[in-house]
Amino acid sequence: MKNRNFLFVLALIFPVAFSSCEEYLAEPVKDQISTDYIYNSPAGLEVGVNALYNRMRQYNLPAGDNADLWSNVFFMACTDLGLHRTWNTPYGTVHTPANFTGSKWSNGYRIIDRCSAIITAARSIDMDATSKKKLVAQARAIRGEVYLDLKEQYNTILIDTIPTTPQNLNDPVEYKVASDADVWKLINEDLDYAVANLDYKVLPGRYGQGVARHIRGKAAMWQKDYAGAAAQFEAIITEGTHGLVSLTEVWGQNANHKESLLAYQKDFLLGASNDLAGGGGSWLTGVFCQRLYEKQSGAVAGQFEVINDVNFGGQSLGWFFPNNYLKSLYDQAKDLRFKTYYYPDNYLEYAVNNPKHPRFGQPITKPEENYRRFHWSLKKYHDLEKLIGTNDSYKDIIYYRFAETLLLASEAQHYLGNDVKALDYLNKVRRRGYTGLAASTSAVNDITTWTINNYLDESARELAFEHNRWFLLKRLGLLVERQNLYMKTSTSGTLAGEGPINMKPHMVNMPIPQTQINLMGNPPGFNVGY
Amino acid sequence: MKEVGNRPENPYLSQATADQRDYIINGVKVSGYIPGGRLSSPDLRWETSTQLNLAMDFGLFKNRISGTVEVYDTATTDMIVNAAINQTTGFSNQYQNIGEVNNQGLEVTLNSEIIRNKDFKLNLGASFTKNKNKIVSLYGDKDGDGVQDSDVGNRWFIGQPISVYWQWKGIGIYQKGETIPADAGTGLIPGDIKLYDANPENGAKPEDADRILTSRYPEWYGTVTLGMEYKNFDFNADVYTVQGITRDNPYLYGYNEGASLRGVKNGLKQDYWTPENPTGNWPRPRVGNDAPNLNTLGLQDASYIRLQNITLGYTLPADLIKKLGLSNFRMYVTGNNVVTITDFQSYSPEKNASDYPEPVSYVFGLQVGF
Repeated sequence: MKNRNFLFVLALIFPVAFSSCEEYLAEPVKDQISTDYIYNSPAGLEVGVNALYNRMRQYNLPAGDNADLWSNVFFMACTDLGLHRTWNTPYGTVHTPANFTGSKWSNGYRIIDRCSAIITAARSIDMDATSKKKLVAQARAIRGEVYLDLKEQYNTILIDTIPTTPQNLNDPVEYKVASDADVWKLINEDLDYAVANLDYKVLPGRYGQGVARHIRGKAAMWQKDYAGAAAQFEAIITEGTHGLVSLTEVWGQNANHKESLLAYQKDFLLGASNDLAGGGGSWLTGVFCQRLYEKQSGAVAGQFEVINDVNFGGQSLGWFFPNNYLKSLYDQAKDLRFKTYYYPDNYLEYAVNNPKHPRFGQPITKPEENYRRFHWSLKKYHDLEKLIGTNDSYKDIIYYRFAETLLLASEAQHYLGNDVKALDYLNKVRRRGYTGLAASTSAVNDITTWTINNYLDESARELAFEHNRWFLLKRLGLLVERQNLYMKTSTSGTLAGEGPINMKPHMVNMPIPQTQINLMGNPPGFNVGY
Repeated sequence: MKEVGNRPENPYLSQATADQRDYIINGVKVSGYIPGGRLSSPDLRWETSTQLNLAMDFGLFKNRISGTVEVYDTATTDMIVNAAINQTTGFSNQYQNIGEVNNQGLEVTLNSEIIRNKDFKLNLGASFTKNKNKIVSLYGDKDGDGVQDSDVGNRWFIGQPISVYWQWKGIGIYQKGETIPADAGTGLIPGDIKLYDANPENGAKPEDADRILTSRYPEWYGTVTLGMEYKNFDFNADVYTVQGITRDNPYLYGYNEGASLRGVKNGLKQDYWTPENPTGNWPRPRVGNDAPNLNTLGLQDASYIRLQNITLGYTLPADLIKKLGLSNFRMYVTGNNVVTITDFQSYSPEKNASDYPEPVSYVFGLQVGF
């Protein structure tokens, strides 16, 4: 009996003892999508490309108050048109990656790697050739755009088109600054492919041939290839899908009009954070807007004259403002942009909106001198649907628009010697600003001579605080000089407290986070001057 | 035993999974999937620990005093650590098996029955634990200087604990009439924080050499337990202490925690510098911005003594219990986390500023056995 039991047990153990248990330990993930799906199937490729849009939106129009927001606000506000009131003072010793633009480096390279992964994987996926080209074209447009951003921001960058995998992570890499020639070749090839394979007419939110040509034209301007740039811009102008719209429509509630080459899409119902389809609430509306509802002067029996109202911008922050230099560039009587792109500068144009105040409906009294509460503010990011009490706005924001195409085309044509055409484009933008109409034949306010100052001033009037002037001035080599002349800071919030900010020449290039330099093994050539 | 490495909280962290990142095209939601910032680790292995443990159990005076003394030396290799990787790869971190860490320590526990009578018993117990954590090796000696390479980016230094603070330190306040070097910072004025400078000869610009390394681990921790029984009453108290630990306290420098000195949010009261109060140990308030380098004042001693548990109970006399037909009847009141004594200015010396602190609780109970 005993022996029988013993043998029985042995017979059971025997097979188990000889089988390997390692495969029982390998557990397939059942409730998450594996990256294999994205890179091995047509449907996967499509969702992979859609997710790139989500990441680009976070890169350029992030939600909340965090390093991503600061990176973007920096380029919008820290030009010769800006007045700084609070938060880190730019161009000082706190001009560090942590305080300013470090997240552009990390987010940028992440997007580039994901684009490279899609582009590489697409080669071996079996699907309809046209659809595949369109998907790859979108990925290449994004990669080209982000490399251009990085080159414009940091100047000394690395380039890499091989997607990172655990297998190749530890391949020996020589970290050296990529040569200009290599960088431009990569950007040009990516954007040329995108131009060749994208349509002009695309659904709102998608990259189309218009924006691909626009970015390719900008890259050409940086390379001083003015003929190439002019050709790109000319193509967009003559093709006709894109054009100027009436002045009130440009930054109106609907961003998906024909002047928009690319607008980031947001939606409150589908959102509430960067990860979700609708995105998270952007704070841009408040960054450049005064907090009029904090105005103390004129208060009666504890009731302020102004209560929080979406018409005045709603909940605001007042971190940066348009400065007096920018104000001096406008013909306040005739240039309609002064009243459309900005909230009223004259306090008498605001009415008391607090129903409990005795002067309800009448103009407010003179505000105390406190920039946080009252200063000429930007209205471009104004959102009528913003809820009271929150900084979050879900308005779609245009990132590239046709007015910039016209202005850059004007500049390119001037360098090629075609001043007639250069002035024509410059004045198209100017006439829209003065008449409010998309097109006008009235030449009374036209600029008659093309000079760099006329051009920069018109560009300031049209495109202030839209993230491109910083790069325009850097490209022209005028950034440091103009910065030191015109940008002001006033942490006390008063006119007397306004002082200049000392920008040093090496600060035209952004500092790469030191932890990243350490992780790369401290290679030479990066962060020159820091 | 204290944890020696980082334990991942969620499963599947070594797998190549994609995050869902949708978008809107033409007002319609479209699905999107994209790998996250963490690179997968297909070759991840388990950590291996080799431990040498020497323990002595003893009992004296017929076990009236008993205890254990234990010393150990553990070498852990292939530690699973969330390593930061250079972001130009497109990823910011990856779980990797890295290097070797050594933990050496001492644990002493002691229990004594001081009084053992029919009516009165008194027990006193104590324990003491001390652990020293040290990185032995990481990636090898790649720069050929004869010494293992440290990983500055991840704050892993050879010979130091794996979890450290490595930051500049504020050592004083600039006074009126004091020369403030131009490269110490822009816009610094009397009342601002002066940073520790290891090499004043090469200028005042804050550098890596000026950073101070502080371990995040405690020097030692222990407990004291008191137990008493008097006739039908029983009493127990546990005191727990952690000593020699430094923690970062956002209530000392964070804007959301009210430390900005801007008159915007309420926060801890500080003795801040003003021209009329030059002996103040905290920087001067400013309207528009935080004081420069305010975060260098953020490390604070988080040692604490906590009355973890105190219990008083009463058991009915044995004959009364028998009369009721029960086998046991005890009433008790217990307090948990009753008192904490610490210099750390926050809701709890153990938790982060935004976490929910440990609650104080009192329990009244009845134990009945049928």
